[in-house]
Amino acid sequence: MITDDELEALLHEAGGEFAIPARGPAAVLAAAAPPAEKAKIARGRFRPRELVLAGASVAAVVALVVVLMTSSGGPVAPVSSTAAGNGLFAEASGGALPVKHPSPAAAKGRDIIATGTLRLDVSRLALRRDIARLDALASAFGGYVSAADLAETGANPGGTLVAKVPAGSFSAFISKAEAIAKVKSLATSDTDVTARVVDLGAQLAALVDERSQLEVLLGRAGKVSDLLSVENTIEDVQSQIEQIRGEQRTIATQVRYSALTVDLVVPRPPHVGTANGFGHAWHEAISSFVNGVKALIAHLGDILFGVLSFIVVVLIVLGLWRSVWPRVRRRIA
Amino acid sequence: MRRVRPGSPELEQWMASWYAPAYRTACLVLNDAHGAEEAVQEAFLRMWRFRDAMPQGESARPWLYRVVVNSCYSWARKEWGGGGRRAPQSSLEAIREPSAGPDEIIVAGDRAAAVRAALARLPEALRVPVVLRYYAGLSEKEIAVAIHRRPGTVKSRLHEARRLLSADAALNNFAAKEGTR
Repeated sequence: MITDDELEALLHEAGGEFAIPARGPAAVLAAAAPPAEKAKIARGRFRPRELVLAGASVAAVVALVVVLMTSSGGPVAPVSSTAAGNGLFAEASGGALPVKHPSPAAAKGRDIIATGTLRLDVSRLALRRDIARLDALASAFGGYVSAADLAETGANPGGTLVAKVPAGSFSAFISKAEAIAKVKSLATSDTDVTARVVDLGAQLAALVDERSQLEVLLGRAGKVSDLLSVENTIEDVQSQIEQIRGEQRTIATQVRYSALTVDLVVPRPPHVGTANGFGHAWHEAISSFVNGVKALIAHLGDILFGVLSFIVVVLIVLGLWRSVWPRVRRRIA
Repeated sequence: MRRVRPGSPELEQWMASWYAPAYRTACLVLNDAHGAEEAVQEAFLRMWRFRDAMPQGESARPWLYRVVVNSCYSWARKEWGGGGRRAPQSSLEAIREPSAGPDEIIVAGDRAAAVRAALARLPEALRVPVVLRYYAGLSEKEIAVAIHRRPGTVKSRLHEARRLLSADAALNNFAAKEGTR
């Protein structure tokens, strides 16, 4: 039997005979270049007409965005945006995701709850590592992971992680998270809760005021029944105050920390069907039958209308025949 | 994330370190120079895109070969159809590196041709571990990572490949000569 050393020597000799293509590394570097640079390399010069058109398009888009932003000044919520299938490819090819989270400056003076869902395609082997990286990333941005779920085995391996990061770093955090794996989809949503916060503040102030008045009444209550009644009312008001304060705390946390839910999905291999088998024929037959029934139901109205019309016409003809035919027969006679 | 630039020192460094072994590995796997070039180019682009996921240290090498092997599989599926096929007996003579005298080239060329032919006759599942073990110099454990199989599977495949290669008369003859030199 051939030994390991002999095999190694033979393969090294066979492998060493292959000359490295001179253009190989250069081709890789050229292919890795962003499209703009590729175009520059390919053309060697700029085309003024294209530049003018591109500039005009960008200006038009910017103007449209400005008009839309200024016209939607009220408490509009939620505002969401979605991007799918870009991710690393977009980045590698020099593009960028069209999703831009509003900057903290834009949201200044308003209470905005920003949330997002990022769907990443990962390999089964990389699941645990990617979740650990997202965890570390959240910590690096001063945030934390509030929930994590991981299933490495089974029919549907995958994981879900909810990362909460300071609102000011949300956009940067999303950008970094996108770089971890291939982005399948990204959806972000901003909910303006300014009106709700103001409303809660007003309710709280009114309840506190009411409680003060009740406390004054409590001091003046002469009868035991009045005393108990006022005490019960104060307890109700206090309970409402606590409830509102709890809601205020929750909203404040949601405003301060934006939540990104990251779904790590292991893509399934494409299903290979039986092109010419019995299964295919069976599915075809079922599909044809269903289509036939659907067509029949769809045309039932037309058929009924046709039948009824025919019956009406026949009845009219018969009526006319009965009324006219005796006269005609008398004349003939 | 950093943008890819044609003059990126990191990518150029990768090219300098890895292009040659990756390309020759792909040549031995595919037995097709054009396919090897395309597969390696695709592999490097994939690696560059996912460079943040690249493991550090000792784990980097099997990871790199894994990407190269997967690119080879993709290219083979695209060009030759379904998996498990043997590589075509295409001529790689045109890309041989002239590094010795005419007589030596003839002998070495015969020997290399015999090796390539023997490799091409192996099924893909056996050819890849053989190339990774005896050309790329990966351990059985590293091959297991590279081809996403258990080390025991790699071991049995290597054994089966050695048995088939030993049965190859031409290769065995050259191996015997190599041993006596």
